[in-house]
Amino acid sequence: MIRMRDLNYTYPGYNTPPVAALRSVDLDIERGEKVVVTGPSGSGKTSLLKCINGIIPHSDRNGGTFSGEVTVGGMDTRAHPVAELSRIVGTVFQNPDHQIVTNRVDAEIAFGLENRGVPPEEIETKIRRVAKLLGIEDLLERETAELSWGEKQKVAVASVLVMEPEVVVMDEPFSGLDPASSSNLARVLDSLNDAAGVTLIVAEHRVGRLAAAADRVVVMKDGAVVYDGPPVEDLATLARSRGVVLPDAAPAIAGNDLPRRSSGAGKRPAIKAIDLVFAYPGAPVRALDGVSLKIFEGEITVVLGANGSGKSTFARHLNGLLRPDAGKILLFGEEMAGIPPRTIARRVGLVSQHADHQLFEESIADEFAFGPENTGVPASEIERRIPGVLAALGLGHIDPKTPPLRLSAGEKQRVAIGSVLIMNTPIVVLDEPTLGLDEGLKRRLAETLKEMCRQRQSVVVMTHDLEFASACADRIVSMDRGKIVCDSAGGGA
Amino acid sequence: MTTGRKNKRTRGIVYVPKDSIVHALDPRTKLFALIAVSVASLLSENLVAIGIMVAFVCASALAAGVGRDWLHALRILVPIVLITIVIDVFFTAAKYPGGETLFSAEIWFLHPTATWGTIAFAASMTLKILAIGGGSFLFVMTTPYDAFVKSLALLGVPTIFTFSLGYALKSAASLSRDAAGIVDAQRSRGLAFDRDLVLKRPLKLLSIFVPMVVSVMNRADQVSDAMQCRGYGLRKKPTMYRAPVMRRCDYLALSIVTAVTAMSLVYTGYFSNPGM
Repeated sequence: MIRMRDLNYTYPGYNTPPVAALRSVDLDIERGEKVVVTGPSGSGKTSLLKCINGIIPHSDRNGGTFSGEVTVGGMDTRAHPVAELSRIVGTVFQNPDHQIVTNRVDAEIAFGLENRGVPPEEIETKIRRVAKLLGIEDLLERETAELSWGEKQKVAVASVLVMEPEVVVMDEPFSGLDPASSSNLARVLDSLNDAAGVTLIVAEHRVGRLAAAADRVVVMKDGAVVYDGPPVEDLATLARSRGVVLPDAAPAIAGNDLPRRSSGAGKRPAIKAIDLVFAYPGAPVRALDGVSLKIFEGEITVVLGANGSGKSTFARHLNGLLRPDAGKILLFGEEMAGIPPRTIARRVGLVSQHADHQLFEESIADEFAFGPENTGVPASEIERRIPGVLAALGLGHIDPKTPPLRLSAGEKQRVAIGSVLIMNTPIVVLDEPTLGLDEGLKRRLAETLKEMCRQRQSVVVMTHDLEFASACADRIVSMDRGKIVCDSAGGGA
Repeated sequence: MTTGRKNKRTRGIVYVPKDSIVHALDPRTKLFALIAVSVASLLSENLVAIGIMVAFVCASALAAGVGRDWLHALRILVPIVLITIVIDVFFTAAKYPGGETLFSAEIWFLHPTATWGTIAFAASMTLKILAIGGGSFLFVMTTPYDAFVKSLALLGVPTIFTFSLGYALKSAASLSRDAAGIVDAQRSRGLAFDRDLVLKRPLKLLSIFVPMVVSVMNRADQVSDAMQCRGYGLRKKPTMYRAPVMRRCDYLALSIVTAVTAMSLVYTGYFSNPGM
């Protein structure tokens, strides 16, 4: 079905030699195979998928060099444009927000079929069928803007599957999904592969159960294939023997399994949230519905929860970006509503989900200096802090004069985290900090956060990454539908 | 600092989902009505004739069940209306000298003069703004943009244009969310959004501008890839799922619009002097 021969793809570096995203890749994928491609950030997984759907070489904006041969269903990707290849290959991208082009779910699923010229009555039937398969019949009449991340991801998958492609490539489809949604999607992929015989190629660094259900696993490192074979029981160990760090099997963190390294006894609460209520304009339900929580000094509190459970809304309350409709927040005993924003910024640092939302300076050093300058930290002190933060986040090998916007996604994410950590605030809130980070980088980040706690800083991490939570949490709080439903410390307000 | 309470009071000119007869009309019918109301209002300077158009728009807003949202949206027009009234009342006497002079003064090089004629002209201009602006707002508030885009395609507008228009309208909300996220991210790093930011530290505004540009460019690249991967461009004329269909209520609405517009134009024809 897919044949790659001596595939190479290199893109120009910034002040560095060209970067080989793919190096002499030879790969044959049979019809109906289910292949999981894994490897650390920057190992070439996404580039490999882009060579299958034709984005490389046709829509390459990196100015890269492509050589070798890729054929999909007998079509040479160099000779056929992406739209034509889409008759065979369906692609689910990492970010569903950048894939959805219409405002209603049914119209979104219909988009690809309309482009192919499928008659409207046939489109209707196909939409119903795929919606039933994915269990999203109740979403069909909804506005796409109203959907949660997980719902958008399901719609994005449906809008590709409805075109009945022979090959489906998916770029980290599980990265924004909570465990329950991931499990559902994995089940759908299994049934799709088993029943319809679709060839599935999924790039993912959180392989877990996915690898076990695959026919074949391809492990990549630095653009080359270092393992290509059947899934083995201990894939992490096998990959490690080839120089690749993969996550261990996902830990079960629920109910009585919650880590309880701290109960907060004898510690001073840095933040005390009391009965917070908040609803977004026009939203039918409350995003926060009576949330009470104490965050203690010198602890890592991890807030787990499914997509749309209220984690990000809670995070934005913790540094005053949002004010509750009811309830209050005490920051070191002082009501937050009365504290000026700049003073809050000196006490609570918030790392937002998207690195691209904050990076703008001409160099990493300037990016790091932005926050501390705003809060009045002297230039000499900023200079002193920079090397420590760079080293802690594994960025020591990069010249601090490098423009952050030229870095890879994982590096940008770490610069964004570092640009807040360098402010040295007594409280740091991180909203989904592991997006785009591979296992090695996550472990390093966990160690950095633990070290901050040893320095008496309080850390709050909003995530649905169970491996990361397990690696760093002193205490785990679980949220569902705007409420705290479980707290390993057993405490509330 | 953003407050939840303040956000809840803020509503723009956006589609307001309702189960009303106006919502159910084909977008082509509403587009025709909007054009008819606008043309009739522009052609007339008769207060009664334009008043008929304004009354028609108000009645449509009530029938759509969006009266409060619509009135709220009309507040955007207040500055334009005020400027129009001041200019038309005091600085158009040379063109509309009708009736006695009510006010006249010499202020530096200005000679503001108000007459019954200028007041009538200002009133007609205000009503025109309300008819055209209010009609446009009502169109947006009762028409999902994908239905609008589809109806444009049915009217023969090229796909490349209709799709671009539809995606631009959809992206307004996404871009606004991105902008809010960027502002929040920089606030978290201590950037104060006060008067000094613009006057004394304008370069700091790059912290908003650059991520916004990056966000727009990234979105454009990824959306264009995603569209190609779903066959965009395979056919010059794609098929249309759930194409808008003209129904009996549309023909009835078109008849009413035609009758009301004709009434207004006839009235204008009989009484061509402003203020009559």
